[in-house]
Amino acid sequence: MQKLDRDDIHILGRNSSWSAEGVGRALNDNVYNHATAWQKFLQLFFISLGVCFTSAGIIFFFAYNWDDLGKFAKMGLVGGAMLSVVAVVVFSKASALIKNILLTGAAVLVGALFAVYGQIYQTGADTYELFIAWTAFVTLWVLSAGFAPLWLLYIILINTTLVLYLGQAMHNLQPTDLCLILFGLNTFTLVASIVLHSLKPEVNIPGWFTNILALVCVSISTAGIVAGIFDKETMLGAFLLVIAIAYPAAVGYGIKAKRVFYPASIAFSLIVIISAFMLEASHDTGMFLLVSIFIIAAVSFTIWQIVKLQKKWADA
Amino acid sequence: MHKTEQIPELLASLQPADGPAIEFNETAITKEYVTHYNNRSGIAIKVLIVCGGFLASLAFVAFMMLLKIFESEGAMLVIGLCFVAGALFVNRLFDKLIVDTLSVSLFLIGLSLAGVGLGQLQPDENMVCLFYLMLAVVTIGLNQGYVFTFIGVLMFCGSLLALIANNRAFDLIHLYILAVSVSLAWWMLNEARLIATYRKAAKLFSPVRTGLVFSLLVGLASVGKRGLIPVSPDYIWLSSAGTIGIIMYLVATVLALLGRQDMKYKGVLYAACIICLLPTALSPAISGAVLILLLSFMVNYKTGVGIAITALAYFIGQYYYDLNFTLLEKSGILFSSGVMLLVFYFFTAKMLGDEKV
Repeated sequence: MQKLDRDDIHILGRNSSWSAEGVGRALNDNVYNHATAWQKFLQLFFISLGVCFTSAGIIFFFAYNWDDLGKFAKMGLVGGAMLSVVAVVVFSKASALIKNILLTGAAVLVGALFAVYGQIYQTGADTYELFIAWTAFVTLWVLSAGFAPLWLLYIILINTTLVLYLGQAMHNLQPTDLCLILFGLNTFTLVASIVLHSLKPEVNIPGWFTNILALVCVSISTAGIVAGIFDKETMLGAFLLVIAIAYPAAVGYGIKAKRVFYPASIAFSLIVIISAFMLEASHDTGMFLLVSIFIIAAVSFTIWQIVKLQKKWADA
Repeated sequence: MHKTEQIPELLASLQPADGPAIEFNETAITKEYVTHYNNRSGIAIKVLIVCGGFLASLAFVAFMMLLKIFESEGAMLVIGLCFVAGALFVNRLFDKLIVDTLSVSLFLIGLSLAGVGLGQLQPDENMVCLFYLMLAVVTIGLNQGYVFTFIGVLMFCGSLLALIANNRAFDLIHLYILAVSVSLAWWMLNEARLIATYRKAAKLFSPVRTGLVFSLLVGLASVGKRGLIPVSPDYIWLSSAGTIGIIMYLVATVLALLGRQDMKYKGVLYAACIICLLPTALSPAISGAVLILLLSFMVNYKTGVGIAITALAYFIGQYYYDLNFTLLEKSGILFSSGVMLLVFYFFTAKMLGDEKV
């Protein structure tokens, strides 16, 4: 029997006398997950949740700031837990995936270690300094593991550090300025991961990772520009110039890589931005009608273009 | 998905070697393949249609408000119903992806206008809910397109939730969660039977499945955050009992799939599942998210897996945030749960064979 997907089975099933048993067999053989997939899933489910819960338990323990526990005991406990995990990663014969999940747990514990240090010695440092230290000290692990969830944690840490630094050290920063900086940072990371994957195809960068990054970039640029339009911020022009370069490049990449996500998300972002410009220009009754018509027309046009693109890809 | 020119070969390959031959309606199959080819839509396009439709209808409702049409209840109800009928007609007439945004916008505008109009004409809010409930059934019956059926299911379940809220019968939310959980499990596990038995309604399968997932999540979210709705703590276990029961049924199915028949192994695994799930008895949102995850993984529904993982992370976080314990006690619970899950990992790795994941 030829390989079928779910759409094939549904179309054939509803236009034939194919029995329920036959359809069920086809779904079982071609679509549903089997024993091997379940084994993999269950193991990943338990180890990921286990590492998350254990790390969260350790963080909550130190957040409690138990007075009866001496400072050496506190540092020793969190440091010991972290070193134990690292020892398992280095010396055990577990698979690379399990080691990487454990290393991600250890990276979270590094943050707990710095937080405990700051708590004990009352360093008086700004919050962003904790995050700078945390980010810096896990960099080597992130680079050596090449594990997408650990990279995601790292990117969250860098973003958090930047937001805290800009919020605490630069008080007169506007929302659009902050969004522009975050957009630059995340776009750089996204481009770097795409370039790395194209130069070294053996480096595994999962689609969900780049999709999350792209979604973050588009959300930040949309929010930043819309805020800039309504608050009349000075950096709006610069931001528009940046997306005038970034958006076409991203659409071009999406078309080249046959990924609908890029043109679809960027088109939606542009529709929101143009609607914001229209509403800022006028709050008249007619403008709301115009915006409504514009959104319907623009989304329909986008879908038409994407469907055309998909047909082209399918025929190629 | 196969191409139209491959259809004859595909149909021939499906004929059984023995037993009665399968009758395929090749003309209808080719027509559906062409329609599917011309309207192929992934998750990105569906999100674009729903979000675009929502934003456009929002702008249009603002326009109507500025026109002061909201001062005339009768006009609103009539215009609203006309919009709904127009949307269903347009979508049925042009079965094309490109008109989906227009018809979804018209539909949402019509729904809001008709709802507000009827609400002002008819002071009994239950009547408005029943009106939406009936409209949902009519929508699903008349239009079997993906987006409309999806919105229809959401409308149906949303109306039930609104009825519960209007009558302040908040404890009925458990009945809602139980009913939607059972419906979702039945729907997902009977895919083959649904397609083969109700061939004319088989197009409803995917949008109803997605609609039920979201409807269940809304129900779970309302009990997942403490204080969001005033439910009695005495009955909260009712929702969990249903979801845990279905999860245990799924565990039995998975065990059969894994080919493990020895009683000792089965006993240990059932006990482990119950130990894992019992602490969630007072948090149905967590067991509900686990249920969606297992069901979606079982039938390889990737969107459902993604939604369930996100929901699970949120519900677990919310559960611990709401817990009336000290940080030290929370730490103990989290740490021991973590250790227990790691033990389960080693157990599954040992018992199922160390699959290199």
